[in-house]
Amino acid sequence: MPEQAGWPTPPGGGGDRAPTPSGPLQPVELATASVLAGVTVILVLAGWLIPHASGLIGLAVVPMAVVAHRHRPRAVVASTVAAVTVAFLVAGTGPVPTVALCAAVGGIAGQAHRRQWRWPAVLGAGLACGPLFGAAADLALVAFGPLRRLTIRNLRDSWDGYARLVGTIRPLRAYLRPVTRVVHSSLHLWWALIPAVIAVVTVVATWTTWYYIRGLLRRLDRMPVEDRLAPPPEETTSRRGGAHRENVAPPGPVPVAFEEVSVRYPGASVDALAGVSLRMSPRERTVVLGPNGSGKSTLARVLAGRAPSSGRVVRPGPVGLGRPGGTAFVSQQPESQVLGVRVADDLVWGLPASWQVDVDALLDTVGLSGLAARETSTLSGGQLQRLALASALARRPSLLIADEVTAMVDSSGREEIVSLLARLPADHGVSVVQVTHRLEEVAGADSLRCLDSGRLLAAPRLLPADPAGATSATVRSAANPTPAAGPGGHPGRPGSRGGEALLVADRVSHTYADRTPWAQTALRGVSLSVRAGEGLLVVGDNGSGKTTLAWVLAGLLRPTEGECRLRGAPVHRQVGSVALAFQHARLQVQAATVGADVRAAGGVDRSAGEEALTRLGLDAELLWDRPVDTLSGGQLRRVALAGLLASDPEVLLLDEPLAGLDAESRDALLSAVADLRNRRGLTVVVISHDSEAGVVCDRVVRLERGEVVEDLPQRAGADDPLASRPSPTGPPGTSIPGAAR
Amino acid sequence: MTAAPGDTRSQDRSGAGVGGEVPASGATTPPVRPRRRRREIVLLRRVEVDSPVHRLWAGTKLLAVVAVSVTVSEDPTWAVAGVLAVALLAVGRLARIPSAAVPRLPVWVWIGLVAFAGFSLAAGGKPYVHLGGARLGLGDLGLYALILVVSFELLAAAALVGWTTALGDVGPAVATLGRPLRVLRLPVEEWAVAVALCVRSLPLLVGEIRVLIAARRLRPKPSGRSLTRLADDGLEVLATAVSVAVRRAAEMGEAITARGGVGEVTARVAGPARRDLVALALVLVVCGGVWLLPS
Repeated sequence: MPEQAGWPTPPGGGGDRAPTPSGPLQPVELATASVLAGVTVILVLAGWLIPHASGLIGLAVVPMAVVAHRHRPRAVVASTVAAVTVAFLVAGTGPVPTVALCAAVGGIAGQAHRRQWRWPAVLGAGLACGPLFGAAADLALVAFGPLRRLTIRNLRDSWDGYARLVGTIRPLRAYLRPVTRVVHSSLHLWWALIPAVIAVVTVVATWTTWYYIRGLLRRLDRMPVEDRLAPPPEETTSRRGGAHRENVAPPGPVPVAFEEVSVRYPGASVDALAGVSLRMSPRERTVVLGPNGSGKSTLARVLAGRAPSSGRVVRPGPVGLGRPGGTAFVSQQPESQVLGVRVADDLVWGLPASWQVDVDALLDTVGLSGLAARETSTLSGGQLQRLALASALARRPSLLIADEVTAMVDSSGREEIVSLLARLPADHGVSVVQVTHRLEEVAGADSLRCLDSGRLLAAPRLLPADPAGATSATVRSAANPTPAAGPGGHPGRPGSRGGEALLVADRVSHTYADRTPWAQTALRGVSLSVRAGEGLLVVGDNGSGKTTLAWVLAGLLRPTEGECRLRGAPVHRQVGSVALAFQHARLQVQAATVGADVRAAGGVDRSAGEEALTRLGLDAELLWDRPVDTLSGGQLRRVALAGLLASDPEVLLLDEPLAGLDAESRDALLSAVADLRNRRGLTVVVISHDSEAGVVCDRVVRLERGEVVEDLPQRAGADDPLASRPSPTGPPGTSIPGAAR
Repeated sequence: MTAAPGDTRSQDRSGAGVGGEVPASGATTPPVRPRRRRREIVLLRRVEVDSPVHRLWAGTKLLAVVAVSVTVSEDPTWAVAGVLAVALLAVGRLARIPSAAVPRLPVWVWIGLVAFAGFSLAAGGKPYVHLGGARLGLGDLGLYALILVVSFELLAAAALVGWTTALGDVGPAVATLGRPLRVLRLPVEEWAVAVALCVRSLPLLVGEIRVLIAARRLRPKPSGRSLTRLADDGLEVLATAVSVAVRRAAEMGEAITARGGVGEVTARVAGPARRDLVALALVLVVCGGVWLLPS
């Protein structure tokens, strides 16, 4: 087994393969323990609540085994406590023993892999722990004697009644008598039987878990997971234990100077950042511009205190990441970086108790006034990002690093966030470093740095030939043949406006948690018809109900009112005929390798699978055996699409197909979809918060608060409501005020 | 945990839908009637009203659930069950929990419960009831009913905590309640943070798992269903879920690092107040008092 071969890793490795830490849990350990505890709780409770899913309880050992494999026993204990507490909160004492047993079994199995035990050791551990757990169960049963007696008497009674009912069938009566005797004596011998069963279950489960989890752990090991913000060692010592102690030097992250800074990630063959030299002054807004993989996120992380592989970073004091007056870091994932359960909790999360925060004033600054008591899980992506900025400002930082903060946000949210960032240097005296791939966010910056392949471009040129813009134009013309030119040449695709109604939503309304105090209406009487061969763009801001509409159109959700029909028949009876590409593509690509996934998703053989991959502009030969966890975001989304296309759907729904992708991946995806529409006459519905994806569509429907408020043909003419929007990377040659430096 | 796949944060607003360019078929079909369907089970959501129960410290409510569980396990009699039922109903009333908040159990649960009742009845025995001349031995049906009532009471006690407590308060409450354990050098603070983060990540995980299952449903059914096939499917879904969870954990870990490590987890420094003492005293009186009841 190659796993854990390089453990401990060479210096600079960081992450969970670094030398085992000691003392309090590291951030990654704590987060893994908590999140996987959540998975355990969900599995156990689902197994309890859903009758035919009790097998899920058996799978609940897996998350804890993963924690134990990756991290110290201390993390397993924290994870177990969290899982037990949350399970208790949901369903009282009932599921607590199950959760505890699952945690113990998974913990042992994972630990066995971590320490590379062989099978006798695993068996021994099971044999040692099994009787202990049995004894614990006996103790509990003795402690709660009265309830136990009642239950046993009742079980015995129920059996007797059952036996009497079955006994009316005369031939069965003879067989019943010995069984009854066994049942009675087992119930009598509960004190021996229950611990014995628990001990046997422990031994068997530990061993099976250990045996079967190997493949999964190996799959997870391939996943590059590391805390890329891990601070350099000299700061670690002061931060751990007595976090925020008085004797730490006051942070001084700016002004900062990079001298020939290079970064190479462990296992990589090229530098992520190569010989970068630059200076940044206080109270300025610097924009770092570059495509995915240009090293701009790495640059942000070096600014935030990550040690470079070579070169020097000069600052007046420590970086003070997350410390009051130090450096604040906001990243692109809205959901993962908001840690508090309520808005106000998130603002103070991680701060020392003595640090005063004016919650209301901060929320006013970012435009979230009055939401202090809201649960963060009910906020939209844009609101979450603004909350993350507020939490950063709560530390009154000297330096704020915003790494692609607008990638997952709709266009109105994006504008608000960018203007907020622009105000910060003047209003709060903060230096802002804004990392982005969007040219339109550059406006008004005090300085601009362009990165490409890890190198700083000598003079900040504006994306030389702008291949992205050019391709967009091709996509547009390819996807939208003028009505005169007609779509002809492929059967099955009638003219874009005159086709038969293929997919029809008929006065669809949907309310989540209907008739409970938490009812939430997402759709209100939406009527919509999609004609065969049509390209329809559904736009709407976060919260407009567009994702719900996508689920309804795909037949995955039966609306509370109204109906959705495909060729006249309810679509929920033909799930799979309408393909839906989810925004979070990783959830859709489920098999271990690309090839296996496309085959399973399409129900096709290798050649058809490869053809589907090729059609989406992917190198089928190269990718076929690639583990899915090593794919980039853009690749994942196209692999998911390839699987859906291989299944030959009647309609293809794309939910936010472009979110989080850089210009290059966006164009690759759009031209693939345009090509499918043209050549195969595929009916496409794109659901998005902005109109970028509209280039492959010929009709636009706007949703607001769950209602259709606009339904227009999209034409590449002057009255095109979307024509005035800036293209993803902006027109080539735009002059940027203040950016010439 | 609610059942929303993604963005459903629409504001409440009345008004009929504007159809836009509706298909012609809309005019000919009969008016849509709301489809009757089972209420979704919503777990771990607070009922957003203000009440004395809502204002109690989370730790008090957790302790109360423990007290109720212990009492009912040690003295499972009709008298105790009755007193508790009254107490729980009173608390629910005081907390202004609408009956719509109570999850409706799926039909199969009721079928199972009735089946077991049938078995108890079939066993017969005293006491006997006379129904129009026929003698029916109720046997231990009473015991069975008692166990049912007690189980529902335990669930209701837990549910009351969920309905009245902001989840953000649970982590800090665990830290305070676990304070005595710090004498044993146990990292209670760390556990409290883990509980808080676990609560935070639950809705995200539920959403992800729903998407996972939906994506699975979109796939063509593999030919030939066997038990191994089912197990393989389950493992594949689980592997994806775990992989996504590990990645999410890595992102959260970075976010924790970006906050400078672990510190405060809640803004409102809530602790036990005088009303908590009163509430605990009440719980103790009720739970202690039932011991004196004749069984």
